[in-house]
Amino acid sequence: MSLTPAEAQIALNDIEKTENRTAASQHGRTSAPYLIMWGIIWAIGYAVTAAAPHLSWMWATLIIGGIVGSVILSMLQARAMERQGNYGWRYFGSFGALAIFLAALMSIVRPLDYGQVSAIFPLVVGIFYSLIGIWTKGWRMLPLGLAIIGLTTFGYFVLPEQFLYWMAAVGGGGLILGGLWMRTA
Amino acid sequence: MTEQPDPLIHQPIRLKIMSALKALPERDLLEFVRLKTLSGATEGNLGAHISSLEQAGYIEVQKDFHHNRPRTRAKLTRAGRRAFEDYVAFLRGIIGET
Repeated sequence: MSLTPAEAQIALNDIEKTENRTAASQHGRTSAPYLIMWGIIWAIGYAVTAAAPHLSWMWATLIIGGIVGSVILSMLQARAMERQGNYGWRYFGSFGALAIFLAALMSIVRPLDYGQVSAIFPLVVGIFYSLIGIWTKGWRMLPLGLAIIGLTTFGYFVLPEQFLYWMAAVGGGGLILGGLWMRTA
Repeated sequence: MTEQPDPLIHQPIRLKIMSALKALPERDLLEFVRLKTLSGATEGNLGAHISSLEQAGYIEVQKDFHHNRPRTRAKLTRAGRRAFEDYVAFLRGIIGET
């Protein structure tokens, strides 16, 4: 059996295409439940903050709930895949690094109003998702991250009065829809 | 490097099955249903190719119940991973890559 260079190249292209498709599909299905869970947290957090600003302390509870939920999800996924390793520490590490970064950013930039604080978090999450999309072949994360950045910026400048409701509907809803889209990967 | 392509891998559907399994981390398994989508094979066709690869010791098939539904999953064995890497090296050798 002999192969020409053209036939070998076709086979190599097929391999690369299938590997990329598998990686994207795997990544999408793994990330979907996290996106849906965080979408619900965003929607509740922003809606409550908009309707009853004195309850904004609720964010701390929601974020802690989200971190615990993420760790539980990672453990369930690891068990379902029969992986030997425990990936929970990666989530603690990722969220910890993100929290430290945001605390440092806030202390340096010192946002002036609640709208600015509310805009910075989704912008950071948006760039986080975009980078995951670029580096892990989970390409669907890239448009999702860019959409979060774009919609947050749009809402901040164009709809300042309704910004928190906008973030509840578009930010939270967008993440939930993004998660459902990821499940079809 | 081998002088001939491995005939078991050098078949379009089996190549896609091996490529899909190779894309996963070492111990991860891929469900039959998703393997069917990724390889573009029909159910019967996929079953036959999976049996060939399993008999050669290239993949390991696990059957169990998940949420009260039968589930079939596959993963690459160490021998399968090595055979696939040799096959890719063979192809790269032909096009002049090392």
